[in-house]
Amino acid sequence: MSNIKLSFILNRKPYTVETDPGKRMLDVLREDLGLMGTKEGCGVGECGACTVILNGKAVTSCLVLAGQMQDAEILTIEGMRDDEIGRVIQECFVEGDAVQCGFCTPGFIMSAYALLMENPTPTRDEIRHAIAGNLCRCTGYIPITNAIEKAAKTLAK
Amino acid sequence: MKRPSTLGKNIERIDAWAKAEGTAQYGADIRLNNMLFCKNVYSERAHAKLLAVHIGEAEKMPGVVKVVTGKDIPGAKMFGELFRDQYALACDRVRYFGDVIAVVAAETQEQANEAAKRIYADYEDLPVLASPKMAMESDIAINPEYPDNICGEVHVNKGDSEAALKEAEVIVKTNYKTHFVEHAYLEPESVTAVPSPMRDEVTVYGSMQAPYNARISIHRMLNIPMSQIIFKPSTVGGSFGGKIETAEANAIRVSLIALLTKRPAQVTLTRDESIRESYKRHPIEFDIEIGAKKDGTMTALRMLSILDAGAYINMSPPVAYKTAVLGVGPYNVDNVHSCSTAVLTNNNHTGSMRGFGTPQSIFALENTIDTLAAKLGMTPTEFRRKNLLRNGDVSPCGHLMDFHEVSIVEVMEKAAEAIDFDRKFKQYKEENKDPKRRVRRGVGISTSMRGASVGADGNGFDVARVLIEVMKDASIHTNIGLVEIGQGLRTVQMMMVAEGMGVKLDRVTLGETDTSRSPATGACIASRGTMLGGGAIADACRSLKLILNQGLSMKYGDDIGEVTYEDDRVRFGEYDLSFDEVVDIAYGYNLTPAAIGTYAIPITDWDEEKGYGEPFYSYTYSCHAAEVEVDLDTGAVHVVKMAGCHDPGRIINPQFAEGQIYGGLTMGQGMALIEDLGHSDKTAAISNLNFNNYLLPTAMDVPDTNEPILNGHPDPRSAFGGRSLGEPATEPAAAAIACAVNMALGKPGAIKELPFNLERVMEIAQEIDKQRDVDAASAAVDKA
Ligand code: FES
Ligand code: FES
Repeated sequence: MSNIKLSFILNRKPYTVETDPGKRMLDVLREDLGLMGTKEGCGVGECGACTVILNGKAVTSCLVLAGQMQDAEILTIEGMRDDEIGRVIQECFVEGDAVQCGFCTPGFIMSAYALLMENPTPTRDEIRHAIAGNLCRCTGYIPITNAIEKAAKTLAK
Repeated sequence: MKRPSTLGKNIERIDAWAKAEGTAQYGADIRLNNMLFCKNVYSERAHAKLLAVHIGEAEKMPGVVKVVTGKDIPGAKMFGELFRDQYALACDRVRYFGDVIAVVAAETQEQANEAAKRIYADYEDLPVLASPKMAMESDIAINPEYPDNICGEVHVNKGDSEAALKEAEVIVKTNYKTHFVEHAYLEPESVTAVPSPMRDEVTVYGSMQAPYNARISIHRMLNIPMSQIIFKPSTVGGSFGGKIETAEANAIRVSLIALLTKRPAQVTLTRDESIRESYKRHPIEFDIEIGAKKDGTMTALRMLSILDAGAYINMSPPVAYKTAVLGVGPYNVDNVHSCSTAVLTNNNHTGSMRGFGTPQSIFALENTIDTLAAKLGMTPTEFRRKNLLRNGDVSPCGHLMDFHEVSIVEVMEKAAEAIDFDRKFKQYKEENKDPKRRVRRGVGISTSMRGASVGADGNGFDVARVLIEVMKDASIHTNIGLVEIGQGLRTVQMMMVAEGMGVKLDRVTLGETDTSRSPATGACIASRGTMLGGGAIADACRSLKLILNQGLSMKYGDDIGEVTYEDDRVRFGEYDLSFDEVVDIAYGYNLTPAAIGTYAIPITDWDEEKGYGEPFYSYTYSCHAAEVEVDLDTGAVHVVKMAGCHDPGRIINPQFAEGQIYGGLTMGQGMALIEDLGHSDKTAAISNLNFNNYLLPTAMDVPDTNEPILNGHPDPRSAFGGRSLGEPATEPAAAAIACAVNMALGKPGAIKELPFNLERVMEIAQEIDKQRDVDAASAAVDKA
């Protein structure tokens, strides 16, 4: 496919890139924009390491075509440090030891972000549901669930 | 007065923020000017003579800069840490589907991928030996040096197990089997090699758990001096023992390309490639016999185990060692025979994986123990309470346990209590008798003792080193080559340096792992990071204090007496100085406060011939307990709760310790119930190459009530009192679940093969239903 101009809002800033619309969104982020925080663990939509937020919804960017980024609003892990909610989630992950090897962490944080945007007071089961598409081999999930629960409580204050 | 210590506190991980912000650099995140992207080409046969590899077409493809095959390796063609039997690039033979026959390097990944499709080979097929049984019966040798395909044998002998079995009042005999398990680190392997423009030197980045081993291989195979091979592991996205030989093979290949092209070269495996090429947990088949007296005293234990080593020897002999010596469990039994045999096949090779040969043996042994307990009319906890080791007992391998607190009974009680085991065992046993009940409940418990460090099969070779330098600003810079793989090791190392120097933690800095800066230290494997790293740190701290004391003597005279370093202060005689002042004094006299610390595990008294003695220097004690529900209509197993209690010596960082246990329980749950590579014992192929069919537990599968329990007793045999937890945290987990499922299904040992998937559970459920119908019919006849 020939390259086209793609314009979108990424982490609250406008971007235009010229790229192949048939590429994966994950590759546009990592290769065209050099944003390496979004990870690839499987390439088939099963691990959630590549999770980003596209128009308010958590998506696995390895399954999204670049063309779908046209005019979209996108958030990635790189946008979290300057985001009030994102920052709190990150703090709770760090304090709660929800980060071990860390390869899954950006994906979990993005899933948590999408959840808290939609439902600021989730139950533990709702949290577990929201992160069910993210695999973690290190933490056994409970510290992650704890961190998201704590982030929700902190933000509610 | 007990002085305040950094140890025992929840110190935040030093790398947590970088990971949470997405800035931590993993192997595949590296981009360099002029860097080549590589693609491996894998064998299309599981066993064949490799007659020719055709690369001509690929070489002409757009963007291709270099294609390498086995012929291009200038030095030794094979690598391996213990036995050099593995081609990094196959030369004349392929031995499994993960062998690499060529690598393409191109300007872009897409170009490399396209070109790789044009490479093909001529093979002469050889019979495929897809199981240890086939390999032992075949006269074809996978490796000519091992004509019978047996590449490792380890035994344990204590007392006379045959005689004791003859005399035993109660005997059980069982057969259990386990399967291939994937490490499933979330980050697939990625390695980048960067050549020096000045000399024959290469710097390697990426996902590497054992950089010093890899350095030796590159030295031998690419003919460059060891000092000119520099490993700087990137942030590692999980390993669990898995990023050693496979990462090393990839490092050898990209280093070859980098040196030949004078350009940086990177290979990043897809998940399918990672699963295809990487080594796995050993499948093991066990034959076990246990004898006991009527009162429940265990008198004899025999365990024969056959391990599938796959195509390369890799770590199979030491894995067999641990299966043989740790597989016999933490029981007080006088007559023991254990023999583990590792057999080469054409399957994926098998090697280090968290637990290293024991999750399998614990599964087999603990289920057998339950069978025996049932036969004796005892509950699982009653039997274990009676037979577990106590202080002063002799371990099943012959180790007199008089050197630390043997806490396994206490550890078991705490795990059992956490799930209310004793009450539930009675209740569920009763309620499961109701033939109308379709969802059955069960509880299971399993125990282990894990040797810390390599063990006696590596007697004399188990050493760690560290370089610590006190800087002029009184910061303490530490360079240690034990790699962080997500377990928190580096943070713990800093805590130990602060403790060793008696200073506050924020004085301590830690360099990134770099083999050109840290002395060779062996790998971060075998439950050795905390204990050996700690020993080396303690040694360096002792030397540093002597150097600083020398400065004090120069200034205050030779008779300053004893100097103590505590609370960031240095005290002697009347004096009470800040650490900064003491460092200033040393530098003022032109001293060099830098030291290399070395710690080698003492040689233990193990007689390999006899199979008797002290197989390890120290041990961690563990018990996992699990509660499950089993649906007889669907075969589904729902894990209700797991508890993991551990005594890893001193708990250095409680939050990290709990993190290991949460993760370990979950890894064991996956192994017990769902993880399956879809291996064919005809073709030796594995079919589940990605997470769409290699299923891992998700947040929805793991009980939210899982409970880690820390029961630490500082170990006098360890510098900072800590032993190990990473491996213990997973080793008994699969066994506890298996015991619980079998209990729910009405009898210990109902299912004998892992994983306990839907089909296997359904098979037993159908037997139960058949039995119920037979019982109902005979009851009806009786009535009539
Ligand atoms: S890489 Fe996209 S879900 Fe795994
Ligand atoms: S922290 Fe390693 S995979 Fe989640």
